Amino acid sequence: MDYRATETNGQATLFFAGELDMAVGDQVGELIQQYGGRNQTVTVDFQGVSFVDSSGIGSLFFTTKELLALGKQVEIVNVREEILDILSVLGFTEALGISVGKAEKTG
Amino acid sequence: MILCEQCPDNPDCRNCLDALRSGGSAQKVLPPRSVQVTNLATMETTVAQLHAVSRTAIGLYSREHSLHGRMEVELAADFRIIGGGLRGIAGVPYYVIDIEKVLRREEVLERLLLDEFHNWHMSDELNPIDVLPDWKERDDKRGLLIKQELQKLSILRRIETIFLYLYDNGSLRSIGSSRADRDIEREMRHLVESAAGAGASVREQIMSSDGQKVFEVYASPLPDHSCGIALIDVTAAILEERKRKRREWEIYRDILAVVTKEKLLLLSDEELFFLLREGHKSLAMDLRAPEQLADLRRSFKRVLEPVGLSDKRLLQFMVAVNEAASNTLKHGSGGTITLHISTDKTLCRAVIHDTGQGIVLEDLPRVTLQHGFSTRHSLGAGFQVMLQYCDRVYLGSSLAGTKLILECVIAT
Repeated sequence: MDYRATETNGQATLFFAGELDMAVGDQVGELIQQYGGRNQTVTVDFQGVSFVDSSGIGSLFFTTKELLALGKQVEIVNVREEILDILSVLGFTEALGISVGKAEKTG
Repeated sequence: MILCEQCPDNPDCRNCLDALRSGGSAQKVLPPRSVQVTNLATMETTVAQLHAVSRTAIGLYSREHSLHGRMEVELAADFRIIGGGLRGIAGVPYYVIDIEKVLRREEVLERLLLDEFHNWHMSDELNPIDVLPDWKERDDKRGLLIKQELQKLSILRRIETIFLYLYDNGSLRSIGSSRADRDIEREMRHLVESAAGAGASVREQIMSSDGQKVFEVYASPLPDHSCGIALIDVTAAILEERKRKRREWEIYRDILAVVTKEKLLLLSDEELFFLLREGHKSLAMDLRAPEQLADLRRSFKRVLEPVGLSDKRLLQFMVAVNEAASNTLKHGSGGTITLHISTDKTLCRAVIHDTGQGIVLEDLPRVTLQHGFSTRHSLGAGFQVMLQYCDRVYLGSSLAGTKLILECVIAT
């Protein structure tokens, strides 16, 4: 899975592209952890994500939960409709109670 | 009990033995034993006292019934003597049965093997009352202890599924009223020899050579360097446990089918086999590492795109298959994934087979239905996805692993 990141004034944006599955889940979790550690807000851009599974999203879920507990803000944006449907069935949208939407901003 | 004027006060008396006309091989049975005797002409049964035995004849005391004619004497269910009865001592209800046959479990002999008789005699029905004549009155600690131990033995000996043995100086001796089959004894001997050699207790299961019976063997070295063995036939218990598990499985199957509106069906291995017999296998892949999941999805896409699944259904089906495949890595070391397409091309079925621990039956309702539940750490919604994105999910879970079949309708 590919990614690129920008950091400005305590605001990080991570642009992911590819398939988020069991093989790369931990790597994605670590990246969010790393950027969330030094920024107040992390935006995860899913525009380029074409596939997710429960293991892949699980790592993202646990990392996000930790950051939220530390008072950070985490947002997932630009989620494709079919991926949003998968996230919803996985219970991810409910479980985190964070904004999962189709923001206009793209990477 | 007075057999003749001399007995039992005179240990040197040989009246009952001489009546057997067997020379020096005759021996008294002390204490005398109650045995069931059947007159084979009339089939009437009575209980007589066994007083003397030799290789060719036995002596019975029977006050109530005369024992003339052809008799069957039952020492144990698998230890019977057949022979002709005659009055042994004039004026005394003592009868001599000349042995025709000795019926053992697996063989018919024409002589009584006295060693075998003594094993039976010494080990069976050793009543506390015979060992401690005043046992009801005895209340000293030693007496109580002996009584208690004898009572324990009496209970053990009445259980037909427990066989007791003693292994001493390389020989295996039955100390119970019956013996297990020879193949089992042979198998057991190997185990016991290693236990005796290592000086440590052994507990193992062994199976009869025809595979029909299962035994638990407990071998414990004893302080005198012999080894005590309890062999327990657990076949009935295992069968009962299987039946109970089967009933439990059927209850789970029915409940899950109702709750999921027949979307999730538990199937036996046999039912799964018949389900997959139709159609043809389009793809097979061994999954051993998460890095192969992307390959798996690509392969599925390549086969399923041409058969007419919409992009959306294809993605959903792949998500479901991917979840099942990931589970084989999470809960085991991977598995085999195959794709079958029905002959009329209206259905595709992905079969995910892993040889891991399987899903524990008690976990099934939660694994399948409760959002976020997983037996390992993960978001644990895999089953939800499969149920949501497939038209039907079949599940077979056994000790041999879990087999999942995800079904997707191609055209209605």
